[in-house]
Amino acid sequence: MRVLGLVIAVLGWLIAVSSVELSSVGIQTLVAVIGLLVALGGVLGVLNSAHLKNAIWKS
Amino acid sequence: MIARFNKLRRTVSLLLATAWLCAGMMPAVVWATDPLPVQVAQAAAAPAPAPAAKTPPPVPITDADLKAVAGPKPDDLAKGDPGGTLTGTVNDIVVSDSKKGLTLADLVNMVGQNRIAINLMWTLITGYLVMFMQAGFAAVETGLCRAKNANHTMMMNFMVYGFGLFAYWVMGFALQQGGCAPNANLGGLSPLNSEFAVNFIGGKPWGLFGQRGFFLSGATYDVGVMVMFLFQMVFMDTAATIVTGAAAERWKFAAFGVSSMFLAAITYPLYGNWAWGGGWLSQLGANYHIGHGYCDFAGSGVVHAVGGVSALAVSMIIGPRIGKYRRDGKPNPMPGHDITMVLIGCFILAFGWFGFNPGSTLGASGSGNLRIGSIAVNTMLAGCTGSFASVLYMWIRFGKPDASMGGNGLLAGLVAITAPSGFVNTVGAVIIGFAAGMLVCLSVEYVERVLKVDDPVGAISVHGACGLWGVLSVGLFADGTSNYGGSWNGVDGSVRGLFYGDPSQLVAQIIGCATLVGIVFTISYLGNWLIDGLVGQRVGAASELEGLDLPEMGALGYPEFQLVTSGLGRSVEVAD
Repeated sequence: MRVLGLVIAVLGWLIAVSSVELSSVGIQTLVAVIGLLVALGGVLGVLNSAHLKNAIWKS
Repeated sequence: MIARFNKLRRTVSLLLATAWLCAGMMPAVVWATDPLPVQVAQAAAAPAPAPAAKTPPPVPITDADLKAVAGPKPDDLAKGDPGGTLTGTVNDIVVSDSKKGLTLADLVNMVGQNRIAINLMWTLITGYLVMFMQAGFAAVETGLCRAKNANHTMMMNFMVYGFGLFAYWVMGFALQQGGCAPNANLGGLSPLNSEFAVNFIGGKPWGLFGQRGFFLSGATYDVGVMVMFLFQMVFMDTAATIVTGAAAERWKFAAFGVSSMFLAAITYPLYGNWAWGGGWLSQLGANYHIGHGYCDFAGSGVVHAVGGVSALAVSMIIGPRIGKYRRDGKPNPMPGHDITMVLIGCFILAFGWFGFNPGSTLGASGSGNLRIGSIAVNTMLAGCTGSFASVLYMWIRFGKPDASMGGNGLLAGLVAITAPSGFVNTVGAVIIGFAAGMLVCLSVEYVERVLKVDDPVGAISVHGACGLWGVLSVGLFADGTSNYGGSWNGVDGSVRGLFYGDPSQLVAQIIGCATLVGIVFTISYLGNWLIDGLVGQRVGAASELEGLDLPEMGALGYPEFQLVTSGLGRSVEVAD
């Protein structure tokens, strides 16, 4: 799960940088925002959930 | 009624006549109050020249003209110069050949050296201010931790300077700035001329890291490079010390040392290169016509968000402090031991920020650098509105103006204005700071209650969340009035955000944020994961419960005091 979270984070970055060659600024903005949100989801969602599974306060 | 109207009309007429007279006399008043140069005074005494006379063509100054300029006589100088009118004259210009005397070449070289000297001096002094911010961080973090960890927390803030500096000297600076030349403000920095790049999207070169300046050896033994190193080093150290706050009270000191060196040698320099060292983020404008490329004037992203996401990575890996969360996952408040230390630390940081932001011009002379006053005022205003917003938020939400969040609000505003400080006006600065003050309160609650990541000092929110906000705000509020030598990141013209006509600048800033979250976080996480496996990041439970001062450092922070826990002692508690 930790590795998956990191992979999603990097994937989010790839989505964001893929916007650089799009022609419309509006679409560029949209794609970049999606990339940022995917990266955040990977870190704050998937990766953090993996850490919370074995959190010290649950034991 | 008519009499009253006539009286009013006479009064208005009298006022208009007075205004007209004043307007007519204005030039005379100005001439009378301005100190007149001798030539002008003589011209005024002479008959007026014919109006149709042509301006004579400019006559080049020759060495003979310079020799005709006489400085003050030694006898006059021997009497002292209380008014300062005899000091700093032609006598003080250095001549290259005393037999020839003063030449035009001497004069021109002196002008050039004075400009660079002003810029080197400015950059050094502001760098010294930033270095002093370490004291502010130490006070804030130690004050927000419990007394039983005071020595340990203070020592992490103290030693991060040494660990970080060493790693940055060995390789961090080279990776970050090794290809940043040219830089007109600091004399060119010509030795820093090699950037490693690969061709990526669209076959465009993507600069990844610099290749000159390892150990500051070889050609980088250069006056300008040394100044650049000092300034960049204290910035890196700011990023490194952010992590110590988030991981405080349970971080093994040895792991902290290795982790800090990793940040100083790898994580920070890479992003610093991409943003400031001529790397791919800064070239998004030149390569893909996306605004002026990623713009981060003083480091909301490079310094604060890098520190913030690294703090998040380390906090996730080492987990929360014992007792921070109940079995049901609800957080327990764990108040710091000295709020006075916290607020004094915040003031020290606010003072140091006047080096952080205005110093990032890397000069005070030429290339639009006179904007330093505007940058300083923006810094001041955003910090002010940040603390105002957070205090207001806490007061409304919890009924008391919480002191620690007031301090964090000040820092949040300062963090957020760091990237846009050189590009926005005062109204933009006020809005950016106010939003950051609100954001830090929301983010602290989110990190603590939703993510359940333990951050004793709020570093992830102050530096991570507000750092990202600062990066984005450039793409919104940059007003297009800055002119640092006519271009930025190799793109002509001034930086403009969405609200001032360039929506593509926002795209560059969002890509910068995605890089911070997607790449910088990942590098930091992987590095610290490895350190966790090799050294172990977290202290043992017994040490943590006892407090880290004795087990980790061998001495208590407050040996003559009996430390007791008398209730929660927090003025404002997060509502269940």
